Amino acid sequence: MNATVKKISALTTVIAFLIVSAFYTVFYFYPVGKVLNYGTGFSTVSRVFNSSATWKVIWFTTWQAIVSTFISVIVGICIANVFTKFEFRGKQVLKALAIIPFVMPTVVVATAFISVNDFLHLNGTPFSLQGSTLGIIVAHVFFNTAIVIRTVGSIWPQIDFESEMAARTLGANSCTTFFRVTLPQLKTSIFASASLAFLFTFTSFGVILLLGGLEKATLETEIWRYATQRTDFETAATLGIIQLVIIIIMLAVNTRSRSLITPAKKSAAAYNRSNYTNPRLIRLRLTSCIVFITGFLGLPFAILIERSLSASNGYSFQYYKQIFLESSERFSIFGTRRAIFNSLLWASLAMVIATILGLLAAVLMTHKSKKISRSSDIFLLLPLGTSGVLIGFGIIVGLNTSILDVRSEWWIVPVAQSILGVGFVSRIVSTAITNQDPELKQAAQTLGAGPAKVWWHIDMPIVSRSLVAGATFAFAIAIGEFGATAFLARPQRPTIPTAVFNLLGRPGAATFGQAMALSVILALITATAVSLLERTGQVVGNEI
Amino acid sequence: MKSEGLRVAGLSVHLNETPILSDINFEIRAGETLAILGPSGCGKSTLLKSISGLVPITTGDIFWNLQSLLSSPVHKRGIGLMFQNHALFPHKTVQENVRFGLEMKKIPKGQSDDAVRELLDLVGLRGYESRSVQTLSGGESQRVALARALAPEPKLIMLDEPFNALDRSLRRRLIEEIYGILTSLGITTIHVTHDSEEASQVADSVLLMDNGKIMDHGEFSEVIKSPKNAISAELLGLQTLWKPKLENKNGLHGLNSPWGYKEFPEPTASSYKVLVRPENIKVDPAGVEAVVLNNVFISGQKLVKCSVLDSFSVHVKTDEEFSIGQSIKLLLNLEDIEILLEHAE
Repeated sequence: MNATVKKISALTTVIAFLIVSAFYTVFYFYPVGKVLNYGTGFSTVSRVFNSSATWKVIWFTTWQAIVSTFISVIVGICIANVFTKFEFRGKQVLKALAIIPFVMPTVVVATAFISVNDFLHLNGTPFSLQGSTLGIIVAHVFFNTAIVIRTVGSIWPQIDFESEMAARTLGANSCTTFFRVTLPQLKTSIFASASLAFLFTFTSFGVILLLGGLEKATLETEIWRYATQRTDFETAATLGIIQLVIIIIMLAVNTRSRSLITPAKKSAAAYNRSNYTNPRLIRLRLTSCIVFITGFLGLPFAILIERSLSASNGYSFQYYKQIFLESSERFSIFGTRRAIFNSLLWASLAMVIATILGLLAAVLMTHKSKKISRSSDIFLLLPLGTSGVLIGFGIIVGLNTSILDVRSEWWIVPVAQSILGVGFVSRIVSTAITNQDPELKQAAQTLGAGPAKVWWHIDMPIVSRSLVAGATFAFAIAIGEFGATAFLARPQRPTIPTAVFNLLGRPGAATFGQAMALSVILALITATAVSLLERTGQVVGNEI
Repeated sequence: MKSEGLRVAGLSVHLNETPILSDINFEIRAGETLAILGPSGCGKSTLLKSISGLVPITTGDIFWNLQSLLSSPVHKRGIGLMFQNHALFPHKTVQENVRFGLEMKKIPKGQSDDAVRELLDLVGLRGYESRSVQTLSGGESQRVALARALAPEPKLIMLDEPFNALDRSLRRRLIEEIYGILTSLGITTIHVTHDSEEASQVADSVLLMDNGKIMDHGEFSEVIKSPKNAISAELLGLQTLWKPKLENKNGLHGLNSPWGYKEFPEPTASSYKVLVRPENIKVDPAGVEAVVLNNVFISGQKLVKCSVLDSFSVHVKTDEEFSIGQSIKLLLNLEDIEILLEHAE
């Protein structure tokens, strides 16, 4: 490498470091530090910990997260098993369908289950999904099964199928083979997805708020409630700290599990596993998998659409029309049209910010120096696990000084929405770069390509593909973001999720119908973004 | 019908309606070793997996001591399989790998510990008990895989290209060691390989396979003495095969070779190949003109490859030194020209 290339490389690292650290310091570390400052006062801490209400909240938050995670893991493993073992027509469509809930905004999922509740008249029955723990768990399973399918499902085909066959020839029946040979080899991927699922269910906000109602409080909803409704910042901050500590532990588990996932040895034999299974069993497992995916994962969306079209005088686009009506109309106080515009604009801005900063962060994360790459990896991990509510709360309490009073600015919403996105983009891009086969570059060099040509022909296509994937993902996260947005979006500047929340808070068929219609629109926007993501062929689950 | 051992009768396997194995028939006497020789993708591994019960068979039957095995599931057949890539359990230690089959048979721990120790002794891996299998070399993994397959005392053990990825010297050493063990235990063995030399070292009899079908089957010395067709000859590593030009003289088909005219035994067959064994060609001034192309060493034996009249090439077994491009004369008796069917009948 000549001196000019070295200089350019060093300069890029310095610029990347300055921009990324400035962004995170101002919009993440300083606000979160301010929360720590608020919440560590002795009297507040002792009051919070001495209150039985706090322990009740911690207990509920934890057990609902454990139960949700456990069920998600069981269901996810069953589906991943079917995807791994059998080849069948429509498998790709079914796989895509199974993954969709993972990227759906929480508000959409919550309204989908509210619509199921309404459609099946479950209110008042023991199976009511609204205002009940059952609803919360069902919605969480709906979400997190996709994480398990994606993570476990990407590792399963890599485990040596011959080791399972070897166990069978050594006298193990199929059940023993699964528990003694297959499951231990999937252990790390199961821990990785379970810790992530636990993290999501532990910090779940939209689902709890919309499906749990006032009675079912978790740490996340309590932080929001204390901060916005009781203006008791100290208690909110202490709860935030408790949550942060648990998040850090779970992130450590997740990082450790991911690091233990060893890439499979290249196996000489590629197996179509369907050939090794009793055809009767294939039919049974396939049927139950298809029924589950279409029934449990597809039906809530179908009912959501049905409810959004079901007006008092039969099926019509009445609620969709009302959403787009001018402000003089009856229900426009919720600013639904404005919300769609804001959401699209802010999510696009958040995507641009996340893409640029994510690329710069990836430069640091893939730096040759282990010190730089490792410390930036840890530096960027924390924001990835921090809940939106904590970020929003931090900005509210942190960025209100005379020098930096930006919490009421409109652009703070896309900035907050992009914080998570930066983490995702940098991870997706840096993983693509580090996973690249070094022999590809060496092959290009032996064929006469210099550093610039190697970059253009080998690195660039990989980076650009992962960048498109990261950007799309950042957009999908931003448009559905609810936790931070709930703090930062002013009533006159709503987004789709905040508008849905407000609409559901008002009684009446019209507001309910509009909330459903608005959720369908949000789901469609997200699904479009995700289908673009799928087209890039990037496996996002692993990086996350 | 032989009373003891394995018999495979009319076995066919179709995967996704594609025939992988067709009408496979053979027998092995208990305690003997059969080598299955065939090119990659010919169905050798599928045959082993169908015998073990891992791959469902489409038609046919598999017998052990006259009893059909079809109704027994894989784990109850008592047939050991040593996989090409060893398939060691990566999450278990050497000891745990070897003990697995004993645990499945519910053998008490103390007893199984003794058995594991004996087996590790047998394969020369004493002291490796608590090692992770991921730290083992190719040869060590090989021996753990063998110990693991032997542990539950299978009635039949099948080795699927066990020495494929190993260097020649390690391969030779392991063949000696492993077959020393198998012979001493008197276990019936099927050994799959695509290396004819390896097959000849280990087996009493050989089964040649191509394209999912049996090409030839018999004692190794018999099969190599008179291969049934050109594919068999190639699988056995016999050098110098070429497609001759057919001639028709007075209604009889024949081959007009540089060494004279030889009649065909079966003029109705459409396609033939000529086989000439290197040891039957002599360098002789009374012979036919040939040009030395190169010197090759196969299994330590020197062969000289020569072009004969610019139309085909032959290998000559000789100790004489020739330079490349040198003209020499080669002599061959007409009866040493073997004419084989190009394909199986």
